[in-house]
Amino acid sequence: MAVAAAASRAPARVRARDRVRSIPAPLAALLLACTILCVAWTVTTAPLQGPDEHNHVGYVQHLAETGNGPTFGATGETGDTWSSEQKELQRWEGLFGLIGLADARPGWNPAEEQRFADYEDHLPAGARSDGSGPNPVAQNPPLYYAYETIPYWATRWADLPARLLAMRLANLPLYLLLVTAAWLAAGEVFRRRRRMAQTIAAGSVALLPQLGFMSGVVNPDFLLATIWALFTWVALVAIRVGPRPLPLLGLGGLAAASALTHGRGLAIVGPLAVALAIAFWRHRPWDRRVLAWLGGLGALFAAGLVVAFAYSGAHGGGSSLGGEVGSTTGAGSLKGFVSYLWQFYFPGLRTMSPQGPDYGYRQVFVEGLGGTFGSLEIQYPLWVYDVLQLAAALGIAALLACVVRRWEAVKARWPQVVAVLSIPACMLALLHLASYRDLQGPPYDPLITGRYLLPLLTTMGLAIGFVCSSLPRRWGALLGTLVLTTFGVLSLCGLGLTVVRFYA
Amino acid sequence: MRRLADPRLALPAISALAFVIVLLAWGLPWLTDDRTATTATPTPPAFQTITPVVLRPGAQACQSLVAFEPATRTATVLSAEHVTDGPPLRITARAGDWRASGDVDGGYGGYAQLQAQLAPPPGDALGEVCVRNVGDRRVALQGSTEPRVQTRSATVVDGRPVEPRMTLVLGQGAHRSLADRPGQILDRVAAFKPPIVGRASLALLALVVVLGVPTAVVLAVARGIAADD
Repeated sequence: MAVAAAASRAPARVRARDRVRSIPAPLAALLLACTILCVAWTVTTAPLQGPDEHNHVGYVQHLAETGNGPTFGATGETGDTWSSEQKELQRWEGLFGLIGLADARPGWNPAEEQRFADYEDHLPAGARSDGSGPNPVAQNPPLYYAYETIPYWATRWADLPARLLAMRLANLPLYLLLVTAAWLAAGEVFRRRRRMAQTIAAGSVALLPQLGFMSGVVNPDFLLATIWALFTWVALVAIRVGPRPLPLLGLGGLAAASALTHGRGLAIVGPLAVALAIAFWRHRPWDRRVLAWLGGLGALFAAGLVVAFAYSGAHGGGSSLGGEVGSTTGAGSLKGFVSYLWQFYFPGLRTMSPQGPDYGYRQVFVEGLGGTFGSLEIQYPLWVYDVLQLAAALGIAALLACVVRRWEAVKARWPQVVAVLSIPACMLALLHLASYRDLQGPPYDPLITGRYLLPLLTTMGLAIGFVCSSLPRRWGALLGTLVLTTFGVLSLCGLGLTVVRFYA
Repeated sequence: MRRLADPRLALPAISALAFVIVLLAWGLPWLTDDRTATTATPTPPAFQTITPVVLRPGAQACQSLVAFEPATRTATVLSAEHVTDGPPLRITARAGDWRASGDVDGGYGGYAQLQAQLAPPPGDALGEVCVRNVGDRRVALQGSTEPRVQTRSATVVDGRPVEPRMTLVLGQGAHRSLADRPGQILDRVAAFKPPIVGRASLALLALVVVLGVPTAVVLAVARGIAADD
């Protein structure tokens, strides 16, 4: 028996080794970089200092401890936004006053650590489960938080800082999945200089400093980005192979997962409809079985929507599913929306009245995606963003020029192009509409930040890959090298800035 | 020279060179530039709105549960008024048997940083810092009622708790670079983390980051971009 078991284990080991070896070398290198960056960001970003991380962690803990998420509004119970245990950590490590305050430092004194350790040693009953709300992120659907309860439970025997570390590290599998999906999506799109285009597309996603940073904090935006990257790949597969069971169920499952992760995830309805329309249009006529699989997709998505809305309804109080979708301020007008949109991307014209604060393309696309760390207080020197903005403008111009130059090739692949373009179009439409509505009344918050664009990274990677593979061979390779190197360099610098901000 | 023109070598070389140049041009100053060396921020400055803590002549504001370490040499509070002749202050720190005090000379200008030198404590400890107005005019020190600045260190004026927390920052009294104190920085990163995160593992991680990320990028360029060229 033992010999037979050993014999069966040996081929399994060989298979696993073969599978690892079958990973293309450039992808393996990128995944290695992601692993290092994720661990580095996890360790260097002070606890609870990611965007809204203190609230997201409060949500995870309450869900893990009680099986139920916190509520958005006051509950009438004796609970609070965070559990007593989390508040005690914030108290002794000085974490609440640290959020966004560049002059503040976390507690690092052994005497403070000892006080918190003493508290953990005599943890009062219910100290982990009394963070029932009001929690400002409680209306978020529960998928990411449910996922985070796994590392929480796996380390439940340990103190809260250890659990926080485990929760952050749980983003690593998502990070690897996201980059692999970008690689596979590029493989679906590019025929010309495929390996190079895949490397550049996946590399520009993997090494983007903002994504690396977000892999090191607890935040559902990271799962949303992963789901959208996988969706992009599966949609491209569905368009190539037609409405087959696996791609259809995959699309349905990913769309449901998107709705179950965040209110912004509902924007996936648009790309889903576009991908299905193209896949079905290209592979007509359909038989009954295909329609049955479509029904399966619909059922999966509908189930996700029902659960997401039911959960948010039960926990969101007066707030709806995701603040972005449920903005309750003034509706505005079409003219006002056009004016807002113009001023977001371009300098305002004299005839236009200001729409909210001076906040737009530069802050969201350049600074937000280029990298602002911590709770937005850690930034590169301004000249870095100036250079990135100039590079982005040149990149967009190059993209347009490449589209014109290779119009026949682009036209021949219109299904893939339309499917990929529908992804940023739908997400940006939702974000801009919500932002505009929010600017019509107090607190006049433009609402969009750079991390909201993470679901669009695969599209960005594909665009960079397209430009590089369209340029003359050597120039394209050089440009791709520069993009990956720049992002890698910026990631290291971002880590350095974070160390100084928290620990110098 | 011909080999250098080969993209299979040139592109990874360009990438590697860029990393080396940035590590030298940005990384070296990052390591060696002197920065304000803070040891604790019992109450950080206000985020948006300053609420003054007013001390009449002879009055004293104290903060408890302040963390001291052997490197602590200064205590800094901030003036909240645009004055030209602020009164002198005496800042006293105590924890257990240790006690130290330092003076802030009068005559300072508005919104100034008011720093007193302290004899260092013998070890890490939690204690109290008090600021006494030893002049003959009132003084307004910066404080805040913002919820996020409501730290564990409550402010008490002449024995009575007041709503604003008085801004208080402790420092080493000198500008120091990261290269001067790598052990201290690593210890700070390791604080409030599980035992696996310590000086050794963090030093190893730093090495892996500095070498591993560039190597991985260069490898991706070599095997994915240059090889396909």
